[in-house]
Amino acid sequence: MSIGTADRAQSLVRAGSPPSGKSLWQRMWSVRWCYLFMLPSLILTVAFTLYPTVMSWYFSLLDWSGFGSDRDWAGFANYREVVRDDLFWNAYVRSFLFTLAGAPIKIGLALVVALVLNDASLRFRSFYRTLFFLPVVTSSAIIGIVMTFIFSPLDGPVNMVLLQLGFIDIPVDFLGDPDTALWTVVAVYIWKWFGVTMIYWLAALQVVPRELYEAARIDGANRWNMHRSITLPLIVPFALVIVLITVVSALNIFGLVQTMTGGGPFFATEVMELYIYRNAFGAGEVPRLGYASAAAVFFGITVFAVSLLQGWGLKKANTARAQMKTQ
Amino acid sequence: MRHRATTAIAMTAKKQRLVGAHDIPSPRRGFRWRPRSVIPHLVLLPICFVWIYPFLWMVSAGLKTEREIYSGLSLIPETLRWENFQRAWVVARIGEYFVNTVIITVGSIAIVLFSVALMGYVLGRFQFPGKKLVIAIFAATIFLPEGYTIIPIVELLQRLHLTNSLAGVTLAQSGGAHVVMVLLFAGYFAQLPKDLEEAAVVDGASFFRVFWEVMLPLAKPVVATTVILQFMSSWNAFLQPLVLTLSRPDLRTLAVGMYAFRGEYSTDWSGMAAASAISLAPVIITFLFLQRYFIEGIAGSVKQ
Amino acid sequence: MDRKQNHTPKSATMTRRSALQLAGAAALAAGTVSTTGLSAAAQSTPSPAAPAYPLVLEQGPIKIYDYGLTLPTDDVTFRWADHQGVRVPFHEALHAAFMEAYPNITIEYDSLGQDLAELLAVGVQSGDAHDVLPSNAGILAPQAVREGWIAPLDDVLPNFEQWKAAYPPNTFLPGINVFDGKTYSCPMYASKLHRNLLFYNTGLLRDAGYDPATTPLTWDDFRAAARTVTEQGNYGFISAGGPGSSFVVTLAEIAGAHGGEFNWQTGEFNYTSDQFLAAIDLMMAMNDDGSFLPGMASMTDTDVRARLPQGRAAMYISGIWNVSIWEQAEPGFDFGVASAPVPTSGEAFPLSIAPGIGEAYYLYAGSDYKEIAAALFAFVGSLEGNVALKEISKAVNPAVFPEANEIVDHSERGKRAIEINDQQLRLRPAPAVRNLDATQVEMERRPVTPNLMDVVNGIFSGQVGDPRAAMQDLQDRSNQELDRAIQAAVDSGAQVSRDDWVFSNWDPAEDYDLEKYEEL
Repeated sequence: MSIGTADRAQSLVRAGSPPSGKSLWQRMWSVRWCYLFMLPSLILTVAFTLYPTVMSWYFSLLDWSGFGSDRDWAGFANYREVVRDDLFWNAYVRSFLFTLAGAPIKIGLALVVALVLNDASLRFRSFYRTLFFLPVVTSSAIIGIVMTFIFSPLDGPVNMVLLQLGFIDIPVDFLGDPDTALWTVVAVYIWKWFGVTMIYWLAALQVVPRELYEAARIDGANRWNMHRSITLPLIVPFALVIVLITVVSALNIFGLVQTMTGGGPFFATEVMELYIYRNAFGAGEVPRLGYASAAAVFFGITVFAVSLLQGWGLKKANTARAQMKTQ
Repeated sequence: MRHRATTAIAMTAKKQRLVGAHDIPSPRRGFRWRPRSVIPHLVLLPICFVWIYPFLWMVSAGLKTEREIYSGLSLIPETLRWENFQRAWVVARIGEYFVNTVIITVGSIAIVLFSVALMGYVLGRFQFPGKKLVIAIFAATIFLPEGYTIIPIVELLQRLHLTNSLAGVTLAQSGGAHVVMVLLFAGYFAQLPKDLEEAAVVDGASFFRVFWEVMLPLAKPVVATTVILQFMSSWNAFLQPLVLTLSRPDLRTLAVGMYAFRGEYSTDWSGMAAASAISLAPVIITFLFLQRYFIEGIAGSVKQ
Repeated sequence: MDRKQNHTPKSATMTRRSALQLAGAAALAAGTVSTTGLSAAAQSTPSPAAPAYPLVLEQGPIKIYDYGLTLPTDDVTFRWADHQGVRVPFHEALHAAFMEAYPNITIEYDSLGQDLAELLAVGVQSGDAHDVLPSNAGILAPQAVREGWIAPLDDVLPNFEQWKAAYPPNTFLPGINVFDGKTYSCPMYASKLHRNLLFYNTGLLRDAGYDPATTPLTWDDFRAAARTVTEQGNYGFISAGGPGSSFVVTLAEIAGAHGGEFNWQTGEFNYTSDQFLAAIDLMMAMNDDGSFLPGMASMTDTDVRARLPQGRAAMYISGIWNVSIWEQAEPGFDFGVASAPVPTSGEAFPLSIAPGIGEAYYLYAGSDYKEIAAALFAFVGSLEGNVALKEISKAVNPAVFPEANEIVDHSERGKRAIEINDQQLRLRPAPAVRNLDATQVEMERRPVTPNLMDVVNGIFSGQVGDPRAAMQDLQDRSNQELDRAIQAAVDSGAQVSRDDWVFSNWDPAEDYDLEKYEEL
């Protein structure tokens, strides 16, 4: 699959280089400016993303604290240790639990709010959008402390409300109880990063022509039917991209969990990035950069696999849509 | 992965061009207060209030005493302690660090915008051998877990003699694949009409001129989006600026300065809250002004 | 230059106190005084052998001397990295005075919170660091020496031998801060710094009918006091992130688990000892009583410290530094300080503390201005400097020179805290002092996870079921890891064995000083 193949073929023709009948070198020479203009971006990518990544693969094969010249070749020893570590699998499972719980709710809720805030008849839309976006820019350190008040079992408002509504009999230590800590962090995560997903949805919704809504309204469709029959089909391609971005970011969640629970109680909220961090930079203990890198690479590979699956789904969906159109 | 996503955006954008009815004015320009139009606000306002409560608390904490902060969630300080803001300005070295942060942010926005737009242009409108490889590289980069690549980056900049300089931090902040941005530019450029490049693109100068004079000005919404995304990331960046200027406190950024409030035994929350409020104001203002473009940019639509 | 002349006459009119300090410093520098306190030091006359440096500038307790070093004459910036805390005003005053004396030198003092200080090691290894680094910032001394990251002070400091000899005994130890006979650190605070005192809200405990001011609470009283406070509407005990290791280790060690986590006489871990298991039982019993403040699991020590004055919780185990923090930030907070609870009345065993861990400074080997560091270290690492530290910071945190700790007139509770500090803490042995190759083991040693703190908090939260089995598991894993690290060190050429962790002549009631190592 390539981007707008027809367009590109046209451009090439205009650039005076028919796509076939010439040697690879000739074809490359004819589009040499493409390579030149990709160079800045490629250099930045290679230097600051690919090179560090390849280095981390190399580090993962070392017995190295990350400091000093004492780098011993360890082969796959780190990987063997990683897969034998219960706490690694604990973090592994938690990362996916976190994502499975957090991503769908965030994506769904953000879509609902985006639909509301996309309604042209709603005044002060920009104002509301900004409000929903504010948590994104609120500092994580401050959020950490506010949330200990909000979820406090002593006098926190969440417990107050739940007690008064009769949902619970005794206050819940949301962040301290291993049964609730992860879900509490998930809730805060959804809240904190909701704004970004909402913006993506709002962007997607701009592709739905407004007069389609008008026409549907004249036909007497209610809001739900309108969205189901008009909006959703049009934004499906976006949905897949948004899901991909959200899932990858949820799997890599770090700062928020670190400031709220630090992974506790007893590893109940230790997601993968915290596990990696604890081993690579863990305060007060001897760091193990080699081992942490092995855990990160192993985890990265599986995330890659998940994404490939998702991409495959995306391709299937696109193909299905294409077939529908031709019919 | 990447190019599939691009396709999705490109396709949708095309479809929208086909339908193309964006010049129809909103039917509700002549707005009147009617009960029905008030109801959504009655629902939205309380939700939003709860939603931004932590943010409001942060701002109010900047005006409280330490004791008040730990006494709970009230938003109203007993007395307004503006001296917290004054202290924040001094302790977090906001005056100095503001300048550093602006330099790094503006510099990295310029570098990223330039490199990403060019990459998006090439990927979005041209076919060339090796394209799949480039796309594969970009696709691979999105899956990297963060946090452990800092040491190679420090070593790299060390070798370039760029540590402990604002240039080094700017470069590091500009570094990376910026997949989402490339994707947006590629999708956006792909859906623009073919006849835009009327002049035959035979040499580098005209190739670049078409990009610079024709294509980029048309891509304002994506430019705005890139500016916002990069602004948020550079303005809030913490670990890289810190590690890269470790022994030069005078080169630090606002986000690093915040940490001056975290003492060994105590945290000056009111100072930190005040400093956060000061340093976040530009982010919020930028968002407020650019959010319309931001949304349009991601959509790839060309509403004027 | 004018300033210098203005200040020189001032030195002639010395205050009584500064005269006293000078005498003390000079006497100490000559090595004539042992650690018997200021009065003894003040009585002895300055030894003629002591170097009398000309005073350049004096500002309160801060004195800038001309040590005869060749300091830079052009405009330079010198960078001093440090932790935050009560020391900051001292350094700021010192640096201000120094910059006044030498206007061409700018000292940039960079006091970093713990999170950031941990990153200093990254800078050191990438060849770019502050000129001065704090000792406990993620930089392991043996590694830093081996890699050439930090510089020996022997050739840098003026009259190095006398400077070093002035320090109290057991400050400089091979394998800790001395390597191959060279000295690498400028100690400022004492190693003996109590990290596990019992702090209590005087009013809440009084209402409950308890007062540990003079005699420590017994375990039974401790539990009963916490329960009574809880019944009266507040909470008995608070601890950041769960009871954690401080609760269990402190109670167990005072009860007779010598060495805390590791018994240096037998060379075995103490995790499965009766004392540890009993302390865990006590913790669970208090948990059943509901005596722990709800929500403390998600708090940090910073939070706890800020919340305790609000009076919702009565007792807290933490370090001696809290005394000054509360006295300065919360003058209205009526709190007391006491020994951690003892099993039955009168039975309190000492607490062991590692030697050579007092906060100190390293000189970065890549520093271009080692003479500036030398001039500053010469003062920071002297009795006079320690006195200035104490006078300016007004904090109880024990300075390395014991005489300095008696200079400042602390509050009654401050004095009590220092008294308990001196009574309870004893230096334990360190394998690195005995055998330098043991440092290689320390560098090989990996963190055991879950560690004691994790296990205790897991038992507390109910995530770890059987305490005895969990502690046995911890014991086994700790043993395995120590053995593995030793083997790894041996494999890379170190001559070391588990026997180096066994100190048959260790008496927990006494400081394990250098002579004891020689007895082995």
